[in-house]
Formats: sequence, C-alpha cells, structure tokens
Amino acid sequence: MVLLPPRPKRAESLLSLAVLLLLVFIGIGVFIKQFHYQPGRLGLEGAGLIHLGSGPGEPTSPAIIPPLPDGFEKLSGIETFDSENLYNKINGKAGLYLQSGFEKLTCQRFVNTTDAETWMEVFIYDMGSSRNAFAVYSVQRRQDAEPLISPMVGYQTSGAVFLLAGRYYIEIIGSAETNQLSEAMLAVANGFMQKVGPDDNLIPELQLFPRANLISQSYKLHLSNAFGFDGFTDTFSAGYRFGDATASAFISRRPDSEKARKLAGEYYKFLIENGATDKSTIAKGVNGKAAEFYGAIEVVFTVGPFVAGVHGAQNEASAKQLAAQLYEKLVRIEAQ
Amino acid sequence: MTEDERNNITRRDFIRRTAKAGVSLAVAGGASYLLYDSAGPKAVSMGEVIEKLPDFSIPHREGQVISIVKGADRVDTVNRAIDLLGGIERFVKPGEKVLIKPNVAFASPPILGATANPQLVAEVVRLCYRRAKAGQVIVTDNPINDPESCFRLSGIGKSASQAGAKILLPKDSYFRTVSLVGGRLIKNWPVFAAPLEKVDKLIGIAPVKDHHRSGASMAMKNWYGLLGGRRNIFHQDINTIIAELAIMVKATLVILDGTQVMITNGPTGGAASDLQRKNTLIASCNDVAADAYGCSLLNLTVADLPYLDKARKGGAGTTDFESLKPIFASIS
Repeated sequence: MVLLPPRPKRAESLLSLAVLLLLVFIGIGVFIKQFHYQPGRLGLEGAGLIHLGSGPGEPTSPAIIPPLPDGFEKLSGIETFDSENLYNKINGKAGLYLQSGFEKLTCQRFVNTTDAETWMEVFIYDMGSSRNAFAVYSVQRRQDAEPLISPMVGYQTSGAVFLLAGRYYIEIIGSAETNQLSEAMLAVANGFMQKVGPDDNLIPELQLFPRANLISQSYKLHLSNAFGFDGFTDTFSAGYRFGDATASAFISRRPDSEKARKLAGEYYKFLIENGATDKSTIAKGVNGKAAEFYGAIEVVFTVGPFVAGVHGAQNEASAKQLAAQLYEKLVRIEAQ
Repeated sequence: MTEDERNNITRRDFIRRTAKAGVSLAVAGGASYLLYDSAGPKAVSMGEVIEKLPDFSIPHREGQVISIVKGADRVDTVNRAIDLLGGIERFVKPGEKVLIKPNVAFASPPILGATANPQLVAEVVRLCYRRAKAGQVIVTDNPINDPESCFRLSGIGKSASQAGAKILLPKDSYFRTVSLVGGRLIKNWPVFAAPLEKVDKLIGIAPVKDHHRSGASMAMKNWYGLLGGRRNIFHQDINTIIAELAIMVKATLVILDGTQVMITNGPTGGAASDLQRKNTLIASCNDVAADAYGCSLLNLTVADLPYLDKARKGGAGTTDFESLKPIFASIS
C-alpha cells in the first residue's frame, strides 16, 4: 500500500473546480481580447490611419446638441470626442483641456444656405464643472474682445464667439468676418444659453479681487502650476492697470492659515532659487515678501487661509499699490 | 472511514489519479501548442520595416541656404525668397515629381492661420509647374481628423487643385513601418511614407504658430503630420519627436510663413486676434535653421525650444542660422 496525501474533502474539490473554471474564463477572455489589441499604439498593421470621434450622426445627449441658426443648415454631423481622442480634433491644445477636467467635446458645422463659403463650427467642451470650464475659458481669453451681453458670460471677436454656460465652455468659430455670420454665431450662443441656463453662482472667488484699476474680464483660474510654480494649484489671478504699468493680483485658498504661510514661503524660495533678488521692503505693508525677477516685481503674503500677492508688476509703485489693495480687501473679508 | 484509511490510497486510486493528471497536462499543453502564434501580430500591410526615408535635399550652395523676406503679400515674398536661393529651377528639375507637404492639420478656415495659407501653397505649385516645368505636383498631408474636411475647409484643397496640383488624401496603404536609426521614439512606427517613394522632391510649407505643448509649431513640427498611429502619445516627449522628425525628413526646401503669426492660443487659435502681422517669409534648404530664425517671430529664442538643440545634436542642421549667411530682403 502506498502512502499518499489524504483524499480531498468535498469542499476542497469544489474550490478546486471553481479555480479551474475561473482560469478557463480568464483564458477565454485573453483569447477574445487578442483580436482587439490597439494596433496604432503598437505601430502595427493597419495603424496608419485612425478613424476617430464618434463620427457624424451618432446620437448624443440632446442637451448639448448645438441649436441650428436661422439661414444655416448642417454642414457636418455631430462629432464627439473624449479624453482618449480629443487630440485628434485639437491636436496639441488637448493637454490644456485634459489637465482641467475635460469630459467630452461635441462639435458640429453649419453653413449658410446661400453661401457655401460662410460657415461656422461649434465646439462644446463639457468640462465636468463650471469651475473647470472657467479655467479653460479664462486662460484663453482674448483681452481686446467685446464682452457678450448679460446674462451670457463670454466675449466676441471679429470672427468668433466664446462663452461659458455652466459646465460647458463653448467656442463658435466662423469662416469669415461678416456681420451676418457674427449675428448667426450670437444666435447659436443665445440658443445654447437658453438650453443650459445661466450659472448664477459662477465663481465666488472672483469677488475677492479689488475693483479699483481692475482690467475688465481679465480673471484667470490656473488649476495647476500657476506662474511656473508647482505649488500654486487652484490659483486665481486678475490683471490691473496703473497708468502705463500693468500687474496681476493672485489669490489661492489653502486649507488653513498654516498651510497658506508654508506655501507662501515656498513660493518666495522658488523665486529666489530661480534668480530673483529680494525686494522685501516693498512688501512691508502687507507683512509679506517681495522679489524682483527680470525687472518685474513679485509680492507674496498671506491673510488667513489665502496666499495672495502680485505677479509681474512693471514697477515698484504698482506692486505696492496693488498689494495694499488686495491685502485690505482680504483682511476685510476675513474679518466678516 | 478511519483517519488511517483516508490517509492511505490503493494502487488503483493512484493509477487513476496519475492518469487524470497526465490527461490534464496533455490537454493544456496541446491546446497551448495549437493556439500559440509564434509570429505574433504582423505589420503585413505596411511591408518591411524601413530605416530611413528618401533624401530629397539638394547639394549645398554657400550663402544660398536661407532667405528671409519682409513683405505683406505672400505671393511676392515667396517668389523673392526662392529666387534669392537660386530660383525654383535650382530645387526642381523639368519633369520631376514634387510632393508639397503643407500644414493641413485642422478643418479650420484660412482666416485663423491654423493651417498653411492656401494662396501660398497654390503659388508654390504654380512655381513648380510654370518655371521649373515639374512633371507632377502632389499636395498631401495626414491630418487625423477627417482629412477631406481639412483640405476642403482650410481652402488648401481648392487652391492647390486650381493651380494644377493633385490632392492626395491619406489611406492605410500609404503607411510604412519606420524605425529611425538611432531614434528613440520613431521605432516600428507607421509613417505616411509611400507618397515619398514616388517623388523626386519634397517641399514643406508651414505657418509660424504658438503651440501649447511644444512652444512653437513651424517647419520641423510640420513633419508631425507624416506620423500615423496614435501619435498623440509622442506629446509626452514632444521635443524628442520633433527632433527625430527633423532628422528623419530631409526636404528639398521648406517655406516658413510668418506673414501672420499665431502668437497665442496655438496650435488651433480660434480668433483673428490670436494672429499678429509680422510680414516675414523664410525659405530654407534646412528646416532647423528656418525654425531657429522663425522662433524670433514668436518672441522666443532657440533656448526656449529644446527640440532645436536636440535636432542640431542629431545632425539635422544648425541653429546658428547666421553662420549660413542668410539673405535678407524686403518688398515694399
């Protein structure tokens, strides 16, 4: 008689069977999946051309289909792009959106029914939140553009309209600079606003900036890496003019005052390490630090949980004045 | 059954268990053998891996490598710029087939300046035919998003066709697998290379643009359009890929259009206010030198664009364009 390990119990046999079945399923899964590898990623057969987007005509959420303007007809079907293929539509600019919470892009072109050379393309970026939408809107804002009439938040250039509507950032780009096309683009913008509705509580942080000397519509939200400094996430900035000189104010809210002070110190250190020279006498009035960087003045200070300051001031006077205005406003808000 | 009986086994049980294990092993091994694909996925339709593209460059001529012409009219400036380098006849011989690769990356209107200017492309086509007596001029690019729309809406398709060019839209069969010798990124990668196999000369035409990722999109970045596959993954190392493209592509002539420069919000732009008039057009036998000058139109320096130095180190050209004795001219 041979001495071998004991016979398996019933439970052990069942468990073994389950494991074997699982392995069989995995095997089948691998077998099926091998026919669906991404050749483009591997640079393999048939990878030259990639057919992208959802393609014309694919149904999408009715809420984000752009409204058809009067006198225009569809020039293309609706195209949609997600984070995987956004670059196919906007190439190198995709990074800007992807870093800012991009979820989906819906596009469609419309052409004038009597003039084939007059057309527009509507880009509707679903950024996931109004904050994200504001970020991509603000960093691309053209300064000399004409603001849209309230309640629309946006602006118009000679051949395009750009607006914010809740979580959406919308670009309407025209093929020509004509009044007729401009009016049609505004009609699309209006129609879209009526569908989505205005965002009454757009960005509360904008109220933190002082109004005096503010350059209209110059707000920006830098979700990351503001002014090249990794620590500045979720940082708002706004432009100011003092005579011929310009400067930006910035505000970034941190979880508490200690973290704010730490970040302010790190930013000052970052400036000095990158070649700035100390000019802290400028920031005496705001209990902060200041430095000169290639002729531009930088100021940083804290008020409670806010790290704030001045970026790129063209002279000491404007840096001092803007820092004082911003400091006073934040102190007042903190005291409330 | 006692504990002792459970711990022991009969000869019959032993043989039965051993046989079961043997059959299991044989089935698993046999199935693996049958299903094993020793060749792996093949790049059948793109043929063999090639290590370099044809060299379209022409012999060096001292003092006639780069010309920079100031003027508002692209037709005038491109004629003058090419003439200063010896005329189109220096670059294209009678009967030759010429491939022009403009930047047609987007289906956007010409007024945005996101693509090559259609009148400029058409004028180069005309020069090739009328003065150089080219046999055929082909205009092509590989925009990922709907090439037909890109050629149509950018105006390049129409203007180039009217000038007599053949518009070639990309197809899967036009791609070849390329592994650039010494390349780090262009390895077994699909490249829009087949059209280059059947032509004698290659001319690149690109606008000067701001680029969110690389800092600038000019003559070297224009070759990005030759890449197939999921080329966006190269955005992670954009400087290396642009440098490798400059090393891989040896063009006859590049034309860098800085008449209206997309100074911000590139590479797509979106508003006429993203453009700034600089009234400058550059013609060059070397794309690195052209870009080294072109970056100044974006208020950048060579140091701001690391791909320029990488391309120089890779032997693609010089960033010291002044050493090439550029010819400056102005058209009032």
